Amino acid sequence: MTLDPVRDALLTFFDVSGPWLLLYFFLINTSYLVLIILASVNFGRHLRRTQFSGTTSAARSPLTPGVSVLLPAYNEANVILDSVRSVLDLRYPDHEVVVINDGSTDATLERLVETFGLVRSGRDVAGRIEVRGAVRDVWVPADESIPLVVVDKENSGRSDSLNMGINVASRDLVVMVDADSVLDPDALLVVSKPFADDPQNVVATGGVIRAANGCRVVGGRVVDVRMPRSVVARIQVVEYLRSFLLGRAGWSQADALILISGAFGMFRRDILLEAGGLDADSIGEDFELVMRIHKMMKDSKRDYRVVFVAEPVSWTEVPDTLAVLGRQRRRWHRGLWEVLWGYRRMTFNPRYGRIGMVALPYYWFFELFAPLLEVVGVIVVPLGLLLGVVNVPFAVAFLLVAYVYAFFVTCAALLVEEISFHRYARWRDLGAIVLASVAENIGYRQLTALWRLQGWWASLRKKKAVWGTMTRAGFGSS
Amino acid sequence: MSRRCSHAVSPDVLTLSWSVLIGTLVVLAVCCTALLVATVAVRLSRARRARRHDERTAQVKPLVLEVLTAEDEEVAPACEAVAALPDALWPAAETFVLAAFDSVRGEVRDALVQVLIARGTLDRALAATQSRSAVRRARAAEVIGIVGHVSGRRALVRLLSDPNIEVRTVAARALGQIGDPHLTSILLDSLRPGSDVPPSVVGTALLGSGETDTAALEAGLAADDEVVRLTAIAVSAELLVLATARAVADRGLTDPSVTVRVQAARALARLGGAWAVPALAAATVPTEASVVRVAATRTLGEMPFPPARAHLALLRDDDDPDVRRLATAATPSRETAGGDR
Amino acid sequence: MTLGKVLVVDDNHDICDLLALKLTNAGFDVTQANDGITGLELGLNGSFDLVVLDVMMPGMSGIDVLRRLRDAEQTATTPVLLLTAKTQERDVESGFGAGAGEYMTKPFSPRELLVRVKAMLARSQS
Repeated sequence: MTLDPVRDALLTFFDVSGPWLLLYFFLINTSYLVLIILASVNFGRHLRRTQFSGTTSAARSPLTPGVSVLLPAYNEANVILDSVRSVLDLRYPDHEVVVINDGSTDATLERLVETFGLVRSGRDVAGRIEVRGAVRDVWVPADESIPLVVVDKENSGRSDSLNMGINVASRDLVVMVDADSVLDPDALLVVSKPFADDPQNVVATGGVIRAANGCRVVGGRVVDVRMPRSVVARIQVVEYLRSFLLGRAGWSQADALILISGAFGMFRRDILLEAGGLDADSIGEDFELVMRIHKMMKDSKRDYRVVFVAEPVSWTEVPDTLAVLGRQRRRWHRGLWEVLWGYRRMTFNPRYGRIGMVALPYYWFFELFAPLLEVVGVIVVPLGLLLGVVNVPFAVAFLLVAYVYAFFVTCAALLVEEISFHRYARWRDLGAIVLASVAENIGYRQLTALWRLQGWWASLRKKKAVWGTMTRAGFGSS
Repeated sequence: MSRRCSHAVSPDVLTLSWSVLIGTLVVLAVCCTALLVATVAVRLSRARRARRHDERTAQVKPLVLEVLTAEDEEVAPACEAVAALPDALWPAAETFVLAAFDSVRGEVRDALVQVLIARGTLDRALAATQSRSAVRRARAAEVIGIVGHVSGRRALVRLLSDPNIEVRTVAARALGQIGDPHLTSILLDSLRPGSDVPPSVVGTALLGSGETDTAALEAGLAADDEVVRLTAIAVSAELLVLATARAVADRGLTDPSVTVRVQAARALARLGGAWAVPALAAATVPTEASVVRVAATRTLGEMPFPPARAHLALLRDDDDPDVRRLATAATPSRETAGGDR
Repeated sequence: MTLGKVLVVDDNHDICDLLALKLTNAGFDVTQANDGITGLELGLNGSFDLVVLDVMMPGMSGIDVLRRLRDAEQTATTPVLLLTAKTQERDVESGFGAGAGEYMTKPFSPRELLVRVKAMLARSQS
């Protein structure tokens, strides 16, 4: 009897929002479908092209553009040697490795100095991008034929270190990797190809990242691809397959690619310098950088392209516990919110073409708000069921449609993967992927929705605090 | 409870929504099953194809390896054994031999080229250049390039104007493998606007011949199209075509396009001499684009001539940190106290 | 009576078989490996007279294998022939820096390779 007001409220809620929720649901799933179709086109084209991509020719050509690989390192003594060696050994005619030691407190620098015979170079490191961390030294190998530079500086974070790396880089193209990413031998060839094909227009490219968990890695290379053991990691393999293969390829085909994952993005150095490098204060650093580049190019009315190369080039360890995963997802969503809010003037702004009119609104409605709706649904629907407000068969059917649709999208991603790269060769692994995609809908996606909301909320609260401080300082100083 | 359905949702709408939901569910379930079945089918088919391919290759490989490892007298009989392979095995043999050409050269390779030609590989490829399928045309161009026989030249040149971009690109690459300097102007021409052939592919193809048609390169330096000028400069630099050096310095460094100016500044590191210093110095003026200034400074830094050194000394105080760094690194003999920033 | 023990390391099975066949026909006792790690293991324990090493291999690269062979006493002076696909000087120099001695670029001529191997062995035994 005291539940009646609650029941009334719920009924009103369903009445009012029902149709809208249905519409949202319909739109988001249709958008996935559209992206799948676009991605398949992109893929089909790419697969035909790779037969004739001439990688061997590019690997031997003196005309292939030079690449500086930036490797920020903080306390990576265990992996740094393997990492640097594997990057030096990448198949490419002209590349250098710039390691930025972000004030490591372990033996990272010592190991590098000893192994590569590094000596201080006394080099001037002032650059066009302002960096905060003070540089202690620049080391180069005594053997000049090794294309390695190690910048030793005080700890100031990944973005700041990368900016230092951009300043020091000497080649035309720059790619940023992490010390624990594992690269395919042809990674640089694959991701630099769009630059070589269209040197005047292409300003940034990104490649596909896969989960390294469970794979056998030797000397900084993946030699055997396998599904991870932990369920959490397995579901992320599915997520990565879906989001990279379909999300990125689809958007790239629509010429509206805004997110290049930082773990493997290649940029033209002059564009990076012009844009001012990474924003060290932003949580969504890589996303923010790409948005800034879009804005800069569109504002100056220059022709340009951001290209996604639909080939796996890099492997990274994904969180295999819920705790670490939770932190990651909160941070990602926080970054998403901050960038979307920071660039809100570009949204629905025709001056920014498809980025402003299609991609950004999409991210607002379907990436940013989605977890809110998902969490609301998870709370409200069982509540409604409990209070007998909701028609049980309806609710069940509705939920089933929602989750089977998600499973459908994943199946499409699986088929595309099978036709194209088929990296997971074992039948057992295929089975594991299918099971993981089912499991994803039972708890995992609800959890990630919750974490994303938490990240968003945390970001909103932080904003208020910042404003609060500023206000106080303003009154206090007058 | 009676409240459940008391809101104004008509039974028709309810039934409709219900049918829509169930209908969607059924359609989705069918699609998911279809996709999964397709995935399994693709995997099985690939496995079967791979097995068959491996079986055939296993039969063919020993014979081809015999040719590749043969010493003088053994070559001819070994080639005959390959040439005598039954039709069923020939496609596998052809694929294997063409793949081997990536890693092997010398008399044994030439001998195998003759075998391929005798078995009709080149003829089939030439015929396939007229195929309606772009993939077949591109593959044909590739094969013609690998075989490297001069009789394929005309077909490849024709394919440079093919409607499909992949075919044009592969044709350009294949022409590079044939390596005839007289193709220079034709290759540069394939960079005309709208053709989208990557300039790096054409450039690499031009390098394939080793020597080059200087007149064609000079014409390329003066072309209307920016991409052609760019490629002509890059190729001149790589092949050390000194005859074009002055043109590179005079026109290249003052080109309307930034990319061309950068390329010219870099090219002068190989092509330039003391005479190029004034032009390079002019390219380091503060009003010039930063990338060009950096490239010019770097080139000056590699020149031992006193005028270059003198100019670099001035650049040590430049506003642009990259220019400063390059200028300072190149002139270390000056006083270092307080000279490092 | 063999001319010597040779280790051939190349991740491309066909090239590896080609090299092995060529050298075997010429009278050498050849052992093959298809990846750097196996190659290194065999190289350290096998007392070979010469090693033919492909540079570009997944897992452990040829340069890496070479370095570790040179670091080990028993293989510090074993002649090594590097097969490199790059024609750039730098790759070759860094191989030399690690103590290679000889290199050949791909595409290579099998006959030339045999001549080189014989010459390298003759030099190292004199």
